[in-house]
Amino acid sequence: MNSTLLLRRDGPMTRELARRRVDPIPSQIPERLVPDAVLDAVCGYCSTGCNLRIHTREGRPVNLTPDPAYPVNQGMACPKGWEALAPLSAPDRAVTPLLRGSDGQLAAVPWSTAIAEFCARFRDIQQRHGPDSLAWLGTGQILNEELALLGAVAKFGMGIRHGDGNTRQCMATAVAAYKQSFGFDAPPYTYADFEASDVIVLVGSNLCIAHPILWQRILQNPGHPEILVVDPRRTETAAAATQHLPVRPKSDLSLLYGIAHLLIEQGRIHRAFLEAHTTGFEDFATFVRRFTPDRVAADTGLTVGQIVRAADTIARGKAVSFWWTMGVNQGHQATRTAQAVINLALMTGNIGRPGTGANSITGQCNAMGSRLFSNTTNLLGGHDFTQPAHRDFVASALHLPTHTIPDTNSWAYDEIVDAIERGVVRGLWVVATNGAHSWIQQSRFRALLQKLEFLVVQDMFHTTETARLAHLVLPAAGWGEKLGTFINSERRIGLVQKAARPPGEALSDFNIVRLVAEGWGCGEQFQEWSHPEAVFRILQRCTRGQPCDITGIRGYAHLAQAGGIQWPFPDSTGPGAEPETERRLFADGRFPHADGRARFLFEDPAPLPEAVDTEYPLVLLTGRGTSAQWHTQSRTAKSALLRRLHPQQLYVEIHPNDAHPLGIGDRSPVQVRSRRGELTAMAFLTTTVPTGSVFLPLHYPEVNRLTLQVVDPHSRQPNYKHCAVAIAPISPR
Amino acid sequence: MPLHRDQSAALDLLVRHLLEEERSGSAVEAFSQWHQHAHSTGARTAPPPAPAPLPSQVARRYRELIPLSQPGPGEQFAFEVDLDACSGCKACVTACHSLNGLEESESWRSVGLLVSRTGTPATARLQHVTTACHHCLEPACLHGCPVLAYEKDPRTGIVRHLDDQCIGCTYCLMTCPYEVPRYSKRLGVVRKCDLCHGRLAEGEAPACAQACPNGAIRIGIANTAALRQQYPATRRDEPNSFLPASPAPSLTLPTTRFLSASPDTPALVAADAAHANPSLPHLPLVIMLVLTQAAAGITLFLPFLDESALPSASATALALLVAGLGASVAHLGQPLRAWRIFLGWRRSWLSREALALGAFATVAMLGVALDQLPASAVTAPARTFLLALGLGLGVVAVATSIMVYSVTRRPEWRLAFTAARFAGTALLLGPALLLTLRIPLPAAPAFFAALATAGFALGSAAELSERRALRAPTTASEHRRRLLARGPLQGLAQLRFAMSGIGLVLLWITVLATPAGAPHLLSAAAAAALTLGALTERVLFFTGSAPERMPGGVPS
Repeated sequence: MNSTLLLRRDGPMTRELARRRVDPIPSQIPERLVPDAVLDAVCGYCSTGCNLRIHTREGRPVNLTPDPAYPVNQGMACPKGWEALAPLSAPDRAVTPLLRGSDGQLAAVPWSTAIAEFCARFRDIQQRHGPDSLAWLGTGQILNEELALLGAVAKFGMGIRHGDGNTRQCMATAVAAYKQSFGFDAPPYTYADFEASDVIVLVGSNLCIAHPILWQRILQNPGHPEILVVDPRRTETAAAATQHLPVRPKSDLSLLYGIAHLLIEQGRIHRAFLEAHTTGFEDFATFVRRFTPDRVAADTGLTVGQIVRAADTIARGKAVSFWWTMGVNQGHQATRTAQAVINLALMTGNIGRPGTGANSITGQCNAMGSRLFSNTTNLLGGHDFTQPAHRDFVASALHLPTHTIPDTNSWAYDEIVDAIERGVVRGLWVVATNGAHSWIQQSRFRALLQKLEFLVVQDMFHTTETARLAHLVLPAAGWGEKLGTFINSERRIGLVQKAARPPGEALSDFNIVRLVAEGWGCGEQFQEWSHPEAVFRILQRCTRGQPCDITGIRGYAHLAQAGGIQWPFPDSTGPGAEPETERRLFADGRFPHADGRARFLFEDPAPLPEAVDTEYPLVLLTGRGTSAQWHTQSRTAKSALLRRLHPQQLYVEIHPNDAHPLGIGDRSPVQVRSRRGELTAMAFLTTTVPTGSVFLPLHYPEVNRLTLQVVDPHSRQPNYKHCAVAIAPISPR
Repeated sequence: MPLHRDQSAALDLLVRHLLEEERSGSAVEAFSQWHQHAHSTGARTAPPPAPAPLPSQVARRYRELIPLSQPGPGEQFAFEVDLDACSGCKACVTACHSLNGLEESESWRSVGLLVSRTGTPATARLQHVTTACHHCLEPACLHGCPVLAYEKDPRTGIVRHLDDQCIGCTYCLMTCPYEVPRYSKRLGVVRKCDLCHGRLAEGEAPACAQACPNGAIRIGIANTAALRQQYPATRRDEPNSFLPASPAPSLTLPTTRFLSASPDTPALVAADAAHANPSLPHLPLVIMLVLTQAAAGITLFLPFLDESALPSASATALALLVAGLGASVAHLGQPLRAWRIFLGWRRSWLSREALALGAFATVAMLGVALDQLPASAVTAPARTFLLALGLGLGVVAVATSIMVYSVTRRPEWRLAFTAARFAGTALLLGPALLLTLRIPLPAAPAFFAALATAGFALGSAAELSERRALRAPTTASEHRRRLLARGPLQGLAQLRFAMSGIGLVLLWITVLATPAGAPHLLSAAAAAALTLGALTERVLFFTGSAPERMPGGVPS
């Protein structure tokens, strides 16, 4: 370009934006950020499991692009993925252990002091108050190798009996539903099913915002499928559906039973499949007779026509896939609702074939890994603590004496919380989760954390709402700073590589647990667990013979080269065998229950735990706000760019018909109250929420002041999606 | 219960070992898909595998995002946005940032939201709108730029910004109705979307288009004649055929096509319709405008002054001009490049304003220099000439200032309003400052005080008529200006009238008291109050502006 003294077409500022192509990135990239190496890592936010290509220069990450060759994301990422490096350089990273001193302040201490204090305090509590007095709360955000080491050291080395994860808040229902219905926690699908369905039913799932890269797969479906969305709100996904069924909050169970009733009544079921592969159908058929279209219409607020049309669409579908997410999982009767979805897939024979399935879409990046390997609800490898044969098998796989493995189940998250209240649990170890923000009925939870004798919080940031309450903060490395594997929603095990050094003295969660084991004096027990890949081999051994058998994977390099590998992949597949890229379960109709049959499980809809009344006349719905926000925002809030993509201030969505009579206008400051607390927010008037309800995005720390401590009885997952609130303007216009 | 010594030593050793391990860097040696330099260290070094070829479906998708051919005569590249496919994930915003290497929070694409305020969830509309530069046929950024830092590529139609030419005056931020140019504090210049011209040149789609999981953003070819026909130069387009709740496309002829199969829903409103933040006050510009207008006001009367009064009056005018121009330099992000400001004189009113003010200041300087010379046969005609020239240039300078803002076509800055406010300031401050200088005047002081009062009335009339228009707002811009006027700017407006009012009262007191009787202090106070009032008025001129804009998201 010709540049003259009068007209500078070129110069340092122009060159700052120069771009060029560099293999293997399929797009021009900024010339000043050209990498000298790229490292692939499966994203550390949601369970979609996109592969991100981290560009590094002289050992430091400088940029990131989504991997075009990975089967999951095919070159795409959502804003969180694009900005995944931003949290690593945040100023509030924990860079040294912090111990609360006698002055009540957290102060930096060396690692050896921190670990010695941790072990001394925990051992003291354990000796004084017995084996139930310690517990840990883990996460679906750390690597398989890390959560397995944590679970193994805590239970087998330190004798901590109770551990659970924040996965209780998102996936426990799917786990319980699958275990009871199929006999194993086995989401049967592969993402290609989105592209192969002619009918897609989404229940309580706002894919466009929660899993944008999965919505992409639906749009890639060449057959223009019917898309049914069951959601009280007009979400982005509902707006893009061919049929939106805006049911009353928590009336989805009635709708699903009503559809089942219509299908049975019209004889549009797969008799042969039912007889060969399921049990309990006849009882179910009798049970759903009471869910007549009229009753369901009354329960859900839908018209009979809408219900009949939905049933008809499902019946006509040749490949119907059913998908659910938090709208189902976070309810007072969540497991039965998930099973009502499973029942529909079973009775129509929509399972095991391309484009079908009763499919739970997971939340966190490694919720699926924690389900198999966290050693909390399940013994390592999807085993059962209460079964002697399982304990023997795992003990021999780990080269440990069987007696080190507890023969009872852990308490669930809510039970651990209750035990703190009862004064039973007195020491708590929180790893990579932020319960003081995310757990229901927040004021109670925060008060209970303060009741603990010793609270250890292991996190990337010393500023999370939970870390601020800790007696000891252990500085952890983040995603991109450590090596290991995640398992995504479709059971794909993917590699996460280390592209950056952790700041200061932060250590990977893996290495922190190794230190704790050493400090506790049980380090020798875990000598084989010396490196993430060594642990991966141990975990492979633990899966042998299980539905999730992955003994055929030939190490990390194999994962990297294959584009991730879905479980199962047993070594019985044959030496040197390569997995197909997209695989689904149950093609043979055999389910993991001993008799090989899937179960029909059902129950009458239970009354709402907190119905609205004149004092609290509105239903509070919660959910994700934008795809630029993740959970408690401890990471996404660190990106200046992501902060531009969502409101900084809490807002409450309310229908104009509810707002106007109260004198609430758009952007009026309002107070939202429940029986448990109150908050202030800006009103956002929209007709996407039904009248009689308000919606709050879950990412803001105030929201769980309002929510209600109620869990599903089977999964013990909290009900975040329904409680009664009242709203009032703060200064009427 | 402390650890015993052996255990403690072992722990220390392990801590050191683990910290060392963490620092040992990344896993490049072990698993890198690709790296540029062969690493000489590391036992696990393996030859890097050949880069995987782009999967064919991905390659095809990328190809389908751009046209097969280059634009022909009468055509140009343009964004095509499939609104039905835009689900509001905002990947485009982040990809633009990362693939173009922009500032920490900079992106040239943004996503807004349109919602319906009637109906139920079964019928509600929820329309996310991804938007970037529209590479307009009549780019207002380009037309206004005083240094020709914008070019519209004759072949592709891409409106490009020359970052090394830009002086950081941010005038394009005022002229572009779509909030496209963004100012970088670090660089002191504006940057904007270049439609990834380098990517297009190599057959690659722009970053945002590549990154949209839904394929909602494509590059198409726009027919310029058809666009001119579609958006005739009417004042307002109702309903807006470009996009609901967006600026009238006739202003700049944007080339982006927003496509949707959904029926038009006029009830759609921007999610941020009820949200208004005061615009930037632009203090250097406030000072520049008020002081240069005061100087022009003084200069109007110089030819009529007694010779003995001339030096102090013209020196005051010069001082005001120099101070005003000096302040304006502080407005620029790149003042050292400001000498190019004349380049745009053919089309930019900002360029013309700079030229007029520069000439005005030069003449004022010559006039003051002349005052220093002993009177001679030459000085008298020269002085007459300079006084006439100065008067003319003062008027022209104020006129160019008025045009700078009125051509932005913001309704609140329309010609009559801006002219009344700017001319009013000149008429108020010129006579008022002359009065407070306490020099012999060619007419009764009351005449000058009356003129000043008339100047104030002129400016206030425009302000009050704007306030009256906001009583029953009809447009989104009026709604938001009303929110500002009745909200965060209310106090400032009261202050402005209070100060000007006090200033005028003091001025009349100085005038009505005997000339000798009025203390200096009173004059100074009058001058100060009136000047501050005028400065506040100008702050309100900028901060109270709320032009039509693209729909934004749920506001903070």
